[in-house]
Amino acid sequence: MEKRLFNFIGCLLIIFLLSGCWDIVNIEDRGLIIGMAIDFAEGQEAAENHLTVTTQFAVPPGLGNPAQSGGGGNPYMNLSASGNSIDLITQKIANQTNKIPFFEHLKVIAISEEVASTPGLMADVLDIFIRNRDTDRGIDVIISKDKAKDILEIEPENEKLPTLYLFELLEKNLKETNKLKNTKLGDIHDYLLTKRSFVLTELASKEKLLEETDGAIYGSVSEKVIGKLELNEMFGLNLVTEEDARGPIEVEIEGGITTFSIREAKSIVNVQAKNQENPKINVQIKLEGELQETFGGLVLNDIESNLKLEKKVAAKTEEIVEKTIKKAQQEFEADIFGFLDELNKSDYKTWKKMKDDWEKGEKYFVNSEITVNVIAEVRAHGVIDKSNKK
Amino acid sequence: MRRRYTKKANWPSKNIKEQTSNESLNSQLDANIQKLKQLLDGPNDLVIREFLLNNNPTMKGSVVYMDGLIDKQLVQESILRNMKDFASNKKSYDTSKTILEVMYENFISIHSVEKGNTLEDALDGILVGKTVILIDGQTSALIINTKGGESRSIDEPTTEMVVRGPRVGFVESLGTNLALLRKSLQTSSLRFQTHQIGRRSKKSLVVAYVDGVVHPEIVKEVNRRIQSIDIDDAPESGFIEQWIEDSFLSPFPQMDNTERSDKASSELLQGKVVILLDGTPFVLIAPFTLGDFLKSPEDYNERWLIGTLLRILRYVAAFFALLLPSLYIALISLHPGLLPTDMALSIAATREEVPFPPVAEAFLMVLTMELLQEAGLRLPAPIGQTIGIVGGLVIGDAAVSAGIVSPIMVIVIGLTAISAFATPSFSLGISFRILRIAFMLAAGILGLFGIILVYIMVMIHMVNLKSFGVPYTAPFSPTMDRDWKDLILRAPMTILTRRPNFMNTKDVDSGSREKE
Amino acid sequence: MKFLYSNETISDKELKIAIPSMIIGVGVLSLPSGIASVTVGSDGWIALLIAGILQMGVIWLMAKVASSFPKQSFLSYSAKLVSKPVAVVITFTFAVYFICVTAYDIRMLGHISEQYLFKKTPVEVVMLAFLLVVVYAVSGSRVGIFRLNILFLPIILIVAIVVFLLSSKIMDVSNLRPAFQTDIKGHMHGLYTSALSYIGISIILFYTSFVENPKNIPKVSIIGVTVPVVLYIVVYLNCILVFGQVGTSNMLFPTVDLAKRVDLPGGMLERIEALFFTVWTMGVFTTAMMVFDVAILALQSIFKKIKKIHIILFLSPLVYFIGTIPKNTTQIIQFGNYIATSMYIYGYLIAIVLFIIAKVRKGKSNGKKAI
Repeated sequence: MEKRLFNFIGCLLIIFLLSGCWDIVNIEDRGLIIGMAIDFAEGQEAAENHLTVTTQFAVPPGLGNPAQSGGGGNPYMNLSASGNSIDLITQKIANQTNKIPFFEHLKVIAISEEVASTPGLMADVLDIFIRNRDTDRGIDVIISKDKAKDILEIEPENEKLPTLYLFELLEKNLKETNKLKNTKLGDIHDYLLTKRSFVLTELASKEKLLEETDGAIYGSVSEKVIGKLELNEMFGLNLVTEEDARGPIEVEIEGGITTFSIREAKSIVNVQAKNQENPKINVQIKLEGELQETFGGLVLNDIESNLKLEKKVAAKTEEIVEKTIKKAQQEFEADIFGFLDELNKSDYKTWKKMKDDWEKGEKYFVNSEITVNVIAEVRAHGVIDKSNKK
Repeated sequence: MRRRYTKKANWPSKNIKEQTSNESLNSQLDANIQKLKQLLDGPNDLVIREFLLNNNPTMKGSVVYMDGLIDKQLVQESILRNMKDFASNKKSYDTSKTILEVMYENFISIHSVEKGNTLEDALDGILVGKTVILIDGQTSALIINTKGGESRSIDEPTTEMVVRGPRVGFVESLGTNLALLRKSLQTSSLRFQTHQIGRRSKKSLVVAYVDGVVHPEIVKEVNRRIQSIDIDDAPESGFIEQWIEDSFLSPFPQMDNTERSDKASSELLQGKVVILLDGTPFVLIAPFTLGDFLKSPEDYNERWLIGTLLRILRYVAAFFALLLPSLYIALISLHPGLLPTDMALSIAATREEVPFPPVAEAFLMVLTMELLQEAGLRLPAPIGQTIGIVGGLVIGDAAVSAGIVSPIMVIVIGLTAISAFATPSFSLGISFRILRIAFMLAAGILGLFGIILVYIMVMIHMVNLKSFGVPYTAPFSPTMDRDWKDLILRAPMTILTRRPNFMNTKDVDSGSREKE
Repeated sequence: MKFLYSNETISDKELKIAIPSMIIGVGVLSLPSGIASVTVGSDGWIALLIAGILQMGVIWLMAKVASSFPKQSFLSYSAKLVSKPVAVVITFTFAVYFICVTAYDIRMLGHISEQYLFKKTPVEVVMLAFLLVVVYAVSGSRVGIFRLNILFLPIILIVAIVVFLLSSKIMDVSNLRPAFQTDIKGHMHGLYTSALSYIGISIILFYTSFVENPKNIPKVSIIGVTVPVVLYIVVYLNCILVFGQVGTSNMLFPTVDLAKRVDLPGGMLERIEALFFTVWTMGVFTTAMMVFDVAILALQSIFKKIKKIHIILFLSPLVYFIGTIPKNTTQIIQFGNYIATSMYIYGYLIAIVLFIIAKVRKGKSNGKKAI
């Protein structure tokens, strides 16, 4: 009996003494990377190296610690290095810091427009992030108009970490107005696999502030960013593709501007490709919303004025969406709306025949006839009829 | 371990007091007295009161007892006074009877009187507080139960407080305890089986069960194991528990102990066996399974909804008590990706100044906590509170300010300690403390994977563990879904009409809803 | 009055739970990807369902054979059907297969944990730690193994359901289309892939000797197979709904990635893949434990004189060694496919042959003596 007990204790001791702690890296010893920016190398480095990667490390003490007063210091640290592959560059960056780079909290990847406009390069630089198990498919990817590095150096007033600011901007704030496209790494993986064009948010910064935003169109044929969408057009795109698009629509009625805000939007895309030469695509959008603000004399107390507003809103929306479609179809010849996917889902056999000639070759997409129908419903007009007597 | 029982099933009772060796009583009173004195080495608490019978100087008798073990009033009123009467009495008695029988019939007004024939009988009687009457010329003695002496009054047990429930706890006297059990369980089928335990110090041990409810095999097994006990003395029921438990390598308690008579009686009705030992207020309840350990008698005293919520709370507490420090280590050291970014940043900020890795930090804090607990336990109540304040508040706060531990670690340890105290059973709480260390070590080596491996090992151990033939994990596994009504949930009283299935009781129903 | 608990018999309920515990293991982690890569849209469920029904048929055959020889070990009843030497060979081959499956399970677990949990910890250490736990489990009582299944299976199923519910936020129902577009070849391929994740159902041939109620075995085992069939279909559809067919087919372990995309409500924890995989370890553990136990059982029936613990001590290093043979991801997957395919064919062949012989014998004896 005693012998057994000793054997047992002996085994336990051996296990504990022989074991190592291979993977232990305490949280404070890790450099939490929250944002990355990818640019072309510049200056003398450019000769040997191709790319410059800037990583944003969060510096927790700089964020302030409730237990210890003060803290102080910069809440983040941007480190850059140049090289030919992302992995090599991150190794170089690791040499510049005392912390061990940790990618699991990476939130935003910014790619400069220059890099993204080089054929095939964007897919290449993103490969490591899709492949690596540390990075998440929910990372936001954005395009930076100038140097992507500058995007990581903006100084928002209310947030200490630029990356978290960008992340929250994409996740929350602009979901209300729906003019940014929150394209995730996982989505891009799917798009690249299905060879589909898509749109990313493009941001520009000036003097450490975000300046303008619009959308960058990634064309699947040329495998690069091929053009831009304005904010209004982004809105039109979101109305077609997003499940719950929101945002205001301005219409002119009764001699003044009236704003209608969308509470619920639904879009149904119907692709008819019986005739291959001339596929018919119908986009039906149903809006529900309420009157937010009016500058003119609009009073919504009868059915007629309601109907009038609804018609105006519908017409305006149609105009926005059609403009976007026209731009994508004619100017860029890129199916950013995923009409081909829709065809895949509704008519698999036709899709199989047409998929290779959708954007290139026969260019079925360019030749297709796209119609937009919008039905708008005004559900409420606030808690008053009018705010002043006119 | 199991082998031990089979070997010792019929352990021959060794003759311990070789000197007495079942020597029968001498017909000479003086010789008997002499022998008794010699055996006990003539202590001064041994009282020998001599008297003459019928004023006949040749007929001597002695009343022998231990001062302090007897009920003085009882001895004086019912024995010594009667003896005086007997001595002065001149009446003649039925001569066919011996003088002892005459005394027994006419003069001793105490209910429990036995006749002893050997010196050992007399000696054992004296040592447990009985009074022995020896008469010159008789080879037997009257052994009268006059047990008494100082004892505690019945109090509310301090180890198992309840808000609502009877304020009655067992005391150190076996007789009182049996009476308490009888009082709270007024059924004719309550059975007591008495054993004598101990080589040198003989103690009574009673196995109590409800006949017709408990499965006979369990009683048989309990009795068999108790018969195998061979120790000098059993000062506390813990000795009995350790002698008869299924596995001494297991960190888990396989029997419960309680001071509450209401808990003991309700467990009896669930088909369990209660083991009472003279000299301790703690009685043992067997068999006991994991699910039983997380029940508290109070669950049944409150309404079912409250009882259910408290049960769930207790399971959560058990989870915290076991795993919280190890999860902290695993998340901070190995898997910070699981934490939300904001939280990861704030934890990293608080840990920036801490010199130790989380494993060392956690061990330091757990050690501190155990020390505080142990220190507080041994001190008188008012000082104990001071220890709590000094330890909990001052050390905790100072440790954080000094940057030795991070504030989150203090929260984790505090939560763990509170959760551990929320486990109703002290012995299970201790096993949780042991396992917590194992989990922490595993988390320090392999992170979450280590935790799950230890968890699986604990589970393997548990499914192989039995408490008196009942699987420790019953009724989770083997599954008896009928018993789940009173496991994590506590169903309304009107639904709990059955005794636990896993106890395999003879009488299945404990009530019925159909009764008018 | 008999006391309820004995150490050497298995109730219906325990067998019912043992079968899904056995089947659900590492397979389901990569299964959706294998199916999605050969089918179109969400059509993979058809292959999964058909494979499941086929499994039910096969397990019914096996159970029928086994239950007609109640309380007899596989070796003894197969010896009655196909002479002793042949039976020994069959049993031994089964034992070898089961050892290989144990090794594969342990290696796969080590491999996935290397991908999702650890970076520097050597895979050998992870495998060794896991193997030791498995050894600890099989050295206990056999009933203990079945009781462990009962404790673990609900946790695994609950975790799968929780992931399913949490991911409903990021599901895209349109991913289910196109439906019914896969050609026969794709379906056949999918059938093959999904069938591979049912390896190990042959344990039923061995465990029947412990079953209290041999008559119920066929029914019980079919119910047992239903659980993994449903689970597989749910997990597969879940992956398709979240990642789409193309995304799913391009991941190695889409089920783990699914957990990676999920956040707990209230933002308590992000990316719970480590947690998910940790809990899933229990599922892999039950598989490895049972396969190992059956291997021991088979060897025990051949070498009656050797103690169980000695067999375990002999086999454990062997399992470990086999587990370390494959060098990289591709080889591990190949190893798994190879074992699964050959074991599949072997197990089914044996089941069918035994069933036919049993039928013929029964026909010959013509009810004179019930077998």
